[in-house]
Amino acid sequence: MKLDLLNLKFLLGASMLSFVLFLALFGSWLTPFDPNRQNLLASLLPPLTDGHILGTDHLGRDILARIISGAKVSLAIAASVVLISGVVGVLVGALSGYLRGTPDLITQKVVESFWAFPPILLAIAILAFFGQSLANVILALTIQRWIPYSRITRAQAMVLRSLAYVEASKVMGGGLGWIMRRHILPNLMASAVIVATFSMATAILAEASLSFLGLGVPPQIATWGGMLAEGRSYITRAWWLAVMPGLGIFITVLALNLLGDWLRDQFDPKKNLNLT
Amino acid sequence: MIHSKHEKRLSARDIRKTFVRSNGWFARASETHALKGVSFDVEAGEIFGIVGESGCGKSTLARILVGLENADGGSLSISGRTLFRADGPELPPVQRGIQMVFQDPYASLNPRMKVGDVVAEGLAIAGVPREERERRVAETLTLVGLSAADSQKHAFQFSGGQRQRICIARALVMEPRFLVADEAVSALDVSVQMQILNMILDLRDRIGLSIIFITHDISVVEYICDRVMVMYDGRVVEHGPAQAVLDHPSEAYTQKLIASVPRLASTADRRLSHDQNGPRRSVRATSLGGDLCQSQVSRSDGV
Repeated sequence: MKLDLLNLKFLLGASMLSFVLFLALFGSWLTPFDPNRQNLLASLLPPLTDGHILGTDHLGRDILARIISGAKVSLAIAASVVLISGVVGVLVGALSGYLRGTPDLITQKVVESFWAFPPILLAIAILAFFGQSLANVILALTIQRWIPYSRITRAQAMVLRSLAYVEASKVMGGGLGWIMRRHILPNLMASAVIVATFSMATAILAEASLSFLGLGVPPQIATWGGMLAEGRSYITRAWWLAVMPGLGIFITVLALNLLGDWLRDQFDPKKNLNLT
Repeated sequence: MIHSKHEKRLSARDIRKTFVRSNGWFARASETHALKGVSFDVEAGEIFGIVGESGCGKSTLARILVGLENADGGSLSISGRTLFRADGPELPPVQRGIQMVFQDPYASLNPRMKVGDVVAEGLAIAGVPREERERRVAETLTLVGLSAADSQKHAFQFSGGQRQRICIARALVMEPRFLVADEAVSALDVSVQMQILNMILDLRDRIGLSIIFITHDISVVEYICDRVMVMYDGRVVEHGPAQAVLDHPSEAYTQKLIASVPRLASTADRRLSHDQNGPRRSVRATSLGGDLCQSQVSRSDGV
């Protein structure tokens, strides 16, 4: 399949995302400031003063340095959430769609009960119960996020299981593991990647929401959501406290959504008629 | 050719299958009796036709033979070796020595795999080493009229008829004693049907394969089958030598089935073809698609 790389969605999304990734990976060398170093004499400085490109917060910490270190945390959390939930969701969906019967019935009941909770409520409950830590934030965000993967892949696996090449494989002695590896999972990858891209965007938003509510990672770690929450009380006096991390979230989520949209277009059978 | 008459014979006795469909918690489950006790024998090197309208249970029977579906009752054995019995364990599909060719040559091949990997799949599952796999794939591709170089291509680079050849190669590489072809030519153009049918006849002659050919097409039965079994509503209506059944159907259903086939060849033509294999094929070609088709056959068998 040919990918349409000159597409506006792809160019915008990819360049914005690589900018964010670049900042997250190498940003700490671009700014002389320590993200956690307080300097009360230099608090609430507006952008572009005294070398603070994006200004400072109410404790005099450099906002650019904090955004960069927050990007690392946000992206790392979102990536692990997407990876774990993707692997779990695709496996659950593929197995339940392929096996049908009792395993399918059980997983579908589990899916329905998880889906019955409002996502943020379930995450809050988990963090309140298990306490705030990086691992628990990842758990709280993963607990529902595998469901979209499992739904989509289950539907596809149900179609694939009755295809003649899967049945031929059975007649030739292909066991569950073989058929999964050879025929089912490779055919589910395209939709899993699309779900992953959108899921990454919502994971970043969800992590920011949890931090905003004060339930995210411990407060000493800078995150976009946490910065937003802190900046809220100063929004009338120092807008940059809230707007700068907000922009970070906005750009990242927009980039991921554009890329996801583009990917979905690329895999759309109506666009690529020579799919086989 | 090499096998003596009774060496390899597939015997099916009183095969039964009922599908139960649940209609929710409060309604009674509905039952479909797909097979109501089907018995038949297939001799070594024989092309055995199973014919009937859709829904008569012929595809279910095919799936039971290869082990894709479990029968509810009856037994199946090949030369005395039991494949399943009502009270015993089932033999896993691959150990049965029966392979299958499916109807749709497009859904039969994984679009992500190269032809060589498709054909070698059964060998790879069995853990055959790579060099031997490649050798046997090359041999088998040549046997079905493709070239060894085709193993590097993808399935989408082939036409329907060629794809069906790949499917047949995939089944043959497992060295089955019996091949079940479930409507294997009905998705193909008439001219391509002829080529595949001729190839199947050729395979029977060259490697002594026994073939169970399932179809709804009387003219296909007439063309390649030695014996035929007519099914209706999960039962065997009639069976016997193909020519005898088609020329002198004793059951009313068989007569209706044969009468419903549109025909270009006259009855006299078919009578002519009664006696031997030689003239039989060329005359049969007429009922498959007229003179155009016949010229196609005599010209070449290659796709």
